[in-house]
Amino acid sequence: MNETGLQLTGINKAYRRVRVLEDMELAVPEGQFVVLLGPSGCGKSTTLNIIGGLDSADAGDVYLDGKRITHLPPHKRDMGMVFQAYALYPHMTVLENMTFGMRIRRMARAQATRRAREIAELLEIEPLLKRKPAQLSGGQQQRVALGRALVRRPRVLLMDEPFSNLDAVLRVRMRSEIHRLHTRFETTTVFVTHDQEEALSLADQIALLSDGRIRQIASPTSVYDEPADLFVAKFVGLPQMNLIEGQLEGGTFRAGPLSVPVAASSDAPRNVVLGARPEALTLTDEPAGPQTLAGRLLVTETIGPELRFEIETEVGDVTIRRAVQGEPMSIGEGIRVRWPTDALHLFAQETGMRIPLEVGLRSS
Amino acid sequence: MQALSIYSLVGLILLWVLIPILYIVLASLQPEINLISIPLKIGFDDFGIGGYKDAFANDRLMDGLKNSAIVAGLATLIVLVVGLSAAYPLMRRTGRIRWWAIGMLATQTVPVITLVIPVFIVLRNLNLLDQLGALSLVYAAFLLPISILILRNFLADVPESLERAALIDGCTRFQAFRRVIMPIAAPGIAAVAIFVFINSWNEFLFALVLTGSNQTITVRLAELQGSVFEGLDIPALAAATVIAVIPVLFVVIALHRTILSGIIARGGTVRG
Repeated sequence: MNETGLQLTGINKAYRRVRVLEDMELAVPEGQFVVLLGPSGCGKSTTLNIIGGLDSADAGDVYLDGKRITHLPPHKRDMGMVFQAYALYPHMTVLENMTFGMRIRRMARAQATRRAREIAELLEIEPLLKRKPAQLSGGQQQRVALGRALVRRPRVLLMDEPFSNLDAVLRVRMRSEIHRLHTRFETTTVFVTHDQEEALSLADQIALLSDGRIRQIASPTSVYDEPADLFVAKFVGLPQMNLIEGQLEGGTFRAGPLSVPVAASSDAPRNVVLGARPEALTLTDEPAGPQTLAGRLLVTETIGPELRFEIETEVGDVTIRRAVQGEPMSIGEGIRVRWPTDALHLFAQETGMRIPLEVGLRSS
Repeated sequence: MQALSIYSLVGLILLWVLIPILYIVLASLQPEINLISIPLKIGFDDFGIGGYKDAFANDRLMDGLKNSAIVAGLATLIVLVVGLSAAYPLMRRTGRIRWWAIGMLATQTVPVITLVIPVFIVLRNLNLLDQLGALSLVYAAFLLPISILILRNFLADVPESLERAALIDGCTRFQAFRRVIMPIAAPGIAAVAIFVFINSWNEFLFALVLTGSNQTITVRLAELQGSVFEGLDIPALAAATVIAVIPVLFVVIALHRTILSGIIARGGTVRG
């Protein structure tokens, strides 16, 4: 282990008999922003606590810059952390909150104060330095918590769902703020969230977790365009990817009246799931053909410039998303959905794993 | 209207509680002749501090005051140090049945009076009779179980995330306790300190049995009262009673500030 950055190897963790993490492997290269994404209870916060030393793994090791830190107590790890509930010290002022970590490490008061002021200026919380946390709004507390974690210039920054207590507007603002700060400080960061939008917008790499296992580690675009399995395909993307179970017969996917040519290799299994993102499907006036699916309009939603249709078909409900245009359609109207030949995803029914499609038929 | 009736009720209760105290304060300022005349005469025109002069001149009473301060102070210190050390590991224990809590409460069901003679024998065999330190140890022992339970609950109210934040910030476990958990739990700790101090200060039975020469103020007061046939100095007795209450009052006022400031500082953010 000579790489710089953070590595987890073979991490296992169970609470009583419940397995929380199973053979977790994760590498966060120096300066990268890695997001742990997953539903609640998938073990992402536990992973973060193990990295920070607040929780211990049953097996496996944590390395920082090639040095094994598995058994180091948190105060010897040099990490910063932002907590979901901010966890500001209520008996200290904002300035004291920010300098506390440096003062406990015996930095001179003047120097600690100077650093805190720098960061406070950057986060636009300078006027608040003399206040107590109780006198701050949620958004301000969030900034102070961020400042407290950054001001020590930690080797690794850990963030545990830091925005989940903020309203939608603030959340988006803080997101770009974090982005800006990361570009500036390039601190190795592990960020935990269950919000895919946060993950897709912030991450260099996304690690998708479910049931204590990592399902995929990849860039946000790869996670979206090439989900490693059905779980990832369902979890990432709003509205969800359309998934239809069917059979693969000589290079053609068949499900009821639908048949779509797919370029899967010959050793692909017979029982598969075909996936298409809502934006890959189109409505068509063409007469029924093999690549179209007749259906009845169930719901339309207009979300800003975007239109969503939910269509009931013979092989299940299908969602389409496109820009607002043309005549409005009425509920119950019979319409046809056209399936593309590219931008398709194929998964094995049995294992849920992605079946690679030949280049040219894959999306972007 | 409702507020009015509540306030009058509170007023009545206050009156009920305060009248004896008021009587003692007034009596301590009267010439003795007023207090033994029939009917009882309490006049505001002949206030005097003769009672206080007599009380302060009584060296044995002053000794008792000093001894009480030592014993109550020491007992408070012991309870806080031992109690916090015991409450810390219990802080995050939240099982459905808390056996440790039940065990500690069980000790409180034993009638204290049944323990007077055993404790006397133990201290006699250890040669610790008539020692202030030993008396404060006894007080601490009796007050510890309930104090630990109260302290534990106040510590448990401090959100775990604050302790975690402190650990990440670079604190050792002890530093996190000392610099973050304790200050936030200060109101509770102050309440326990008041509780232990008042109980130790006012305790009479064990002080009477376990101390001979090093008696505390409660015992001295009783002695003063016992001298009724040798000519009771009622204003002096009343003055001594007032004097005995004042230190407790100071402790309460001093720590009351901590309790209030703690409540204000919390302001709702503590329970994240």
